[in-house]
Amino acid sequence: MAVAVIVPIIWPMEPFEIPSTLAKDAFETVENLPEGSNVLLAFDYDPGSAPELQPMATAWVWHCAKKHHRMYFMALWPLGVNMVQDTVDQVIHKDYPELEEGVDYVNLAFRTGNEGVIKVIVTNLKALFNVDSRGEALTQIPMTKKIVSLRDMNLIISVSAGYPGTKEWIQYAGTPYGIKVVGGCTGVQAPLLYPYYPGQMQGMLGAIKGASEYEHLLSTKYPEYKYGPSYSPDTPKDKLKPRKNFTQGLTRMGPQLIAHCLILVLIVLGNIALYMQRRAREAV
Amino acid sequence: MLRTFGIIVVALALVWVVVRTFMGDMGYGYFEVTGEGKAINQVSVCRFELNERTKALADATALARSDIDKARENAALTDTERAERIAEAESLIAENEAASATLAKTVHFSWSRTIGIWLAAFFTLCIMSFLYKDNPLYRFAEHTFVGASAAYWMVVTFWNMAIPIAIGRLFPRFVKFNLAPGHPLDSWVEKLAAENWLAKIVNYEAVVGSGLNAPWYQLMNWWYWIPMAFGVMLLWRLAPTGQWISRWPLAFIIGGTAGIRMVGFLQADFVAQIRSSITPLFVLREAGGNSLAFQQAFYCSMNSIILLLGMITVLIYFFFSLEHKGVVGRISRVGIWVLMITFGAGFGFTVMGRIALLVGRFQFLVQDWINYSP
Repeated sequence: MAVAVIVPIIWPMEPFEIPSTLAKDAFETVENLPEGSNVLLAFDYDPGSAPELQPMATAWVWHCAKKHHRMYFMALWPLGVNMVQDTVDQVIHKDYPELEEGVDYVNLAFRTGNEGVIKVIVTNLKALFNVDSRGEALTQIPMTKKIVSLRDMNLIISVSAGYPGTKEWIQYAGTPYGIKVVGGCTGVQAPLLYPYYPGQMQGMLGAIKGASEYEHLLSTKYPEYKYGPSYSPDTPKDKLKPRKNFTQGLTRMGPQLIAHCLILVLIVLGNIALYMQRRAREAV
Repeated sequence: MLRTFGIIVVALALVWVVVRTFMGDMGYGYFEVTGEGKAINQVSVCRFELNERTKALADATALARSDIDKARENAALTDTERAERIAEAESLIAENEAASATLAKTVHFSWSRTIGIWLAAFFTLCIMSFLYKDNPLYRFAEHTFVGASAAYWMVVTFWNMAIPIAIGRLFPRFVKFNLAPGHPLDSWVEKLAAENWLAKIVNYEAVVGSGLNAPWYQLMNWWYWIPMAFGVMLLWRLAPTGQWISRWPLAFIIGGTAGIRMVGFLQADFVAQIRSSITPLFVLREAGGNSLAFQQAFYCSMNSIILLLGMITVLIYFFFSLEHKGVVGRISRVGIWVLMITFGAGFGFTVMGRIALLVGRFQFLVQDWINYSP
């Protein structure tokens, strides 16, 4: 398994990607929001699940910035704040240096209380969040001055690795108050979230496959996501180099493909061995 | 035999990485962009870009050098043509070297980053060593992780909750001047004056607009003494006597959580899920009213039919008031199949998730630690 995973890391490969309806809907939800919409990005994960979730977080932040949405970052996990900061550094500071903190995006940081936090801020945001991550009062920050509660958000994007996460955002904000929710989750969580789509959740990215599909959709519509802000349609194809930090989902599908093929082969071999063992036993 | 082989492989890998790190034969994995670099590039550039730019410049320089050699060896060229080609290539080499020098100036070797990467690699290998067998290195990494996580959680919670929400509401001026300068005193006093029931007793109106000079009791939100008292009661568990006191806040927490979660589950999981299950069996038109193509109509209708059949068969499987014999037995058997397929899909997702984590760790080891840039 180690060899099956390491080889495609050293010699990268990008399998052909066909986006699912869930990923397409998640993409269309962000894409079809009017420019300048309020989007809450909840980063409820930590470095332990970053290999699965960071690619989709990167893609979503880039997409929101591209569509000039106002981004409100927050976390229900303590280490989520660091993930927000990493993503802001990697995406906004790099590709959108013109965006200003407090005007175009704000980091509301972490609050403990799990679903209790959602339950409070869905009626009064400033009851729990009175300052942002820099310690500046929300009443003084231009983009939070007029925000009363979660109901002022046009969309909630939840990237989550467990509890509290997407399920809680759907239960306490999306379903009771009719706020649109799209979620990105780990592979373990994905089957538990499927029942919420499409009634209570507008789109979903399940694990690294979902992230890869979203990256594919984003790169197809906006090639500058994949090739950088200097991309031009006139550039010869052989000179176009995908940016590694922005295509982690696509590149990680290479090792996934090889590893899954290996598992399939091992299952088949195991069954053949069992069958032969049984036959040998019957012959005796 | 296997153990010796493993130790030799790990030792060789370590030697290779150390040599590459300290002999300069490496990319920019252990470097950071300087302030000057940030100004030149406007924003921070990542190691991948630095590595790629350096490689591209080195390739272009090598190509220009080979052009010079070819021009010198090419007998068909006149002296003027040869001189022109050589001059062109030399100018390109000079340009590339200048660009490389500028690039090198924009980054500096970072000890903090290097130590961080090495520590992370060390702990990763320690955890992976469990694949061989339980050992002291694995246990050391595990205990360090648990300890660091607990400490981090405590510090973050203290500065994000205890200070701004609890102590900050009781002693706001102290918090503003000593702990959190962003504390919004004036807006709080306004809020207290407008909303607080104690406004009938405490004259909050008198201090609106002059929060910094107001007496301490007029800045205090007295309601917050209740959760503060609950907190103290909860910690009473650690006291030598009277541990029963901690049961009261615990009962409040459990009761409150159960109430909040019950409402959430009823709305989002019970009612909404039943509503989502009631869908038309034969879908011929989309939500907007437009007719669907045959293929789409077939796909959507099959989805609805499978959903209905799956739900009914699984519900019957869990219906134990009837003996699972005859028709009921056969239907519940289908229910088992539906459940098994669901568990299989769930397991497939879990495998994908675990492999993604493994890929992430290996990418770290190969690209960050060994500093290999494909």
